[in-house]
Amino acid sequence: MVRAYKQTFEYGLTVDTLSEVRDKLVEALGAEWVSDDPAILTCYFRDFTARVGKWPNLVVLPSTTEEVQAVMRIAHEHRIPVVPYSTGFNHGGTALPQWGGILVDLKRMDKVLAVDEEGMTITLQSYLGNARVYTVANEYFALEGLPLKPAIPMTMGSASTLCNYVSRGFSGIAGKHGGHSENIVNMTWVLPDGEIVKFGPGSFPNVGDVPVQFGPGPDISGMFISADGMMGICTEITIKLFPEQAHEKLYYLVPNSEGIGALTDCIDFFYEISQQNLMLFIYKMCHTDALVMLPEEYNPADFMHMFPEHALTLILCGLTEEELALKEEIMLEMAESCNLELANIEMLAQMIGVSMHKDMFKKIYQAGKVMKPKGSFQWIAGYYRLDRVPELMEDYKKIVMRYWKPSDPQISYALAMSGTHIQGPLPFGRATTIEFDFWWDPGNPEQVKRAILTLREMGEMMMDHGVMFAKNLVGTYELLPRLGVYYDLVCRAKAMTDPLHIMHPDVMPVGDGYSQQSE
Amino acid sequence: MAKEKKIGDSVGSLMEYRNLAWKCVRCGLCRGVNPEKLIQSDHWENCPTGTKYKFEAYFAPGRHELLRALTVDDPEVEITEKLKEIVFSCTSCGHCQENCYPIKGLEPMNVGLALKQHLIKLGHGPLEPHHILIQSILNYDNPWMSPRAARGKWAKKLKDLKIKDASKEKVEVLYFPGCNDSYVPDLKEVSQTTARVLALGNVDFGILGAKERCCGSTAFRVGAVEMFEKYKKANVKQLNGLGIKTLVTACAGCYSTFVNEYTGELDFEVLHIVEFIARLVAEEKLTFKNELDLKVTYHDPCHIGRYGGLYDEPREILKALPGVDFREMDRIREYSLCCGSGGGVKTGYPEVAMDTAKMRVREAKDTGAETIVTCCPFCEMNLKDGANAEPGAMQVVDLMELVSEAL
Repeated sequence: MVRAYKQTFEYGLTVDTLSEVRDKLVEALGAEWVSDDPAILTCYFRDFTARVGKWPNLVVLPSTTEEVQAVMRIAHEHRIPVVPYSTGFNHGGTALPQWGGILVDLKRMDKVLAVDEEGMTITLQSYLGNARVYTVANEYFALEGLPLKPAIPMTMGSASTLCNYVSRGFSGIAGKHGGHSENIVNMTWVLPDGEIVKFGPGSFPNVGDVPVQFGPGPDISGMFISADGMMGICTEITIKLFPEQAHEKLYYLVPNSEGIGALTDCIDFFYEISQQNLMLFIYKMCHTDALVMLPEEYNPADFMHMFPEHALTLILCGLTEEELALKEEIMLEMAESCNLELANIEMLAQMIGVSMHKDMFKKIYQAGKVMKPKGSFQWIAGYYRLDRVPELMEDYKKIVMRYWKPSDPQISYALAMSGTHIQGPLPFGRATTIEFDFWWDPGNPEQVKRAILTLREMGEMMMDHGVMFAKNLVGTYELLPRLGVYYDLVCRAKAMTDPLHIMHPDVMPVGDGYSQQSE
Repeated sequence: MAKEKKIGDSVGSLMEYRNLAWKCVRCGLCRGVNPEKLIQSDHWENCPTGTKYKFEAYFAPGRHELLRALTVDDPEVEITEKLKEIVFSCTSCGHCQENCYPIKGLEPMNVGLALKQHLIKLGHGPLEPHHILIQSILNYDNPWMSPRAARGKWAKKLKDLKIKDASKEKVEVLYFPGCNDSYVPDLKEVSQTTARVLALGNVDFGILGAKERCCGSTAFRVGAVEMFEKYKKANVKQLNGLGIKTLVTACAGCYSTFVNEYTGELDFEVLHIVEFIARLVAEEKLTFKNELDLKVTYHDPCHIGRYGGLYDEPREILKALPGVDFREMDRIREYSLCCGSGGGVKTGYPEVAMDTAKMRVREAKDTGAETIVTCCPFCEMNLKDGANAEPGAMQVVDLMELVSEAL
């Protein structure tokens, strides 16, 4: 049964209560790390999406799990809504308060807590960014003397690794090592009532960070994955590390065909190579992605049209040069049969007239990327059958063309406007992730309007096709009631964990029967 | 086509940046070293103020939000003491803009400067400590509350050099020490060694002595634009009247101000001393002979680095000095960590300046160096304070002192 959403919650957002809450927070964290100054508050109600929130009443900066616990206990005691915030990027709209309340900015939680070289794990706090995590892991070695690395999300190097992992992130490395949530060993969460709970082997006494994913018994950690802060605040995470291979080589493949035919060729290759599990990293890119090869001093908009709409980046690896050479030989045969050509980046650079970063994609898989197109981007992603991606793409293009006609003078980034990535193939390439990005100018009200409309239609289109949303984002949460009984169960789980509904209210509609469910 | 450099370009008004504020997507590139260039995890954060205070408002995206909130038709925020702290504690180091402009096309550092100017225009600044600096410049032509007549005293010990008075005699090169190297006792040696080096290179140079005025950098950086314009006008008139070919300064702040804020108004070239020395060395007019036996690292001052693009020259000089074991820190060149003292922060928010200096000194120590070399009096003073507050001895010197020793 799909319930209509109606707000029935009462929060302690009165002047007197907030004043008392403020005093208690100051006592718990120190005056330096609590603020209710408008100049501080106004920086937390907007992000890169078209969604707009509301000022929080208070912003706090805890530095440990125990301090987060203290904040949650105070919030719970006074029925104050809480929204966690780490880097404020990557997951659009999910760190914007809608009710005010307390915003927990996690920037002080930026430490690597442990690296277990032998067990090949790393334990992190919430704010640590991808580039930093990779850099630390790389200082440690596997038994063979190979440096260790985490599976790094394909987002900004400055974005939080913990957040990407607990929100079921993925990247081009997922075909080899799995999606990011599959590489979580332990998690520490502070629940809405302030209780601290550990998931994974760490939940058992004296077990520690044994690098297996779950302990015995019912596994409820899934309730917290991709919950985007509505079940509590994740303060620590232990993730698996992998040994780097001694020999790695990057390839840039372009299809000989154009348009949808080019996409089909790329997908055929994607499927073939995933079947063999030959690659370390694979990424079906679009022209905006190719911009990472450009040196910083060049304007991406001038070069966008020079890159193909569909192309592939691939990294092969081997413990020996011979192993790598053999893989390369097989890969090239596959590429030829799929009508793909190995592009020579030097030649491409000569053609375009600039010297390009040849290994930039390798750097991206190592440290996270820098998003080169100007303006903001909105994205929506899901898991889908690989062979059906072209159909999805056709419908996606129709939506894009409806709102973003290249001839429209309102649109300044026509070429960059839309892109499709395929990354994170599930084992054997039967299914994969598919991500649609479109870039827009958040300073242009007309484009903001179109971005909202595009996203809404795309969410519905994807659901109609049978795509499973990989992450819940702006434009997809509103569709969740369509999941029926499953959605009802999610609401009940939320109600049991957070009967006062203080934890990130409004990130997901919960229905007007919430308070009864919690009883 | 290549993009134009924006760091140090003229700053627009608050309203000119209004639309840019909406375009900030919070990607976080401005907060730390470009992820593609990161060497050590601990050396990622690169915004002195943001690193100190941590709230979003103190980082570049927050400044964009404040700009937006102040310029909407019905301003969302009032100007509180906290807002003033956020605005005036920015060191204007330019790291955020160095990262953001080439990729996202935004100018967060210029936004910070425009915010300072805006608050002053509305009567909410300068800060009290800055007010003292400004009064001093107005009364004495320098921020140190020292008499004009004392400006050229540093040269008294150099009678043997027979330094020319550029206001009376025509010279090819004007050496412009600036306020700090003229008045601060610890820094006068920089002026003296610079003059000696110029003399050793047989350069036809002179100074203005007591007739030299503040370039206006301090006033400009704390947002007192009207006063800066007054000094700029007077300096342009005086300096263009000297008939010089080149103005040389060892002060990064003066250099940046002449190059970036006096753009197109000076009839001569302006060089920082590192450029000039590199030129003399290339022309074989200077030869380094003495072994120094020093392990050094180099701190890029923002005002010749990000503002001026002078990254190679000081390094080439250091590498050419006999006996110098040169080691690089992690955050260098365009990703250099600011010393923490710029933009009036040393005076307005000494704790931000000190914390940042200590952070930089620790990074320098990690290289195994015993000495930090720099080319800016502000950096030298602040890093010395940082070195004194950190355990273990670390020397901080101006590059000219090493050059002089090696000749």
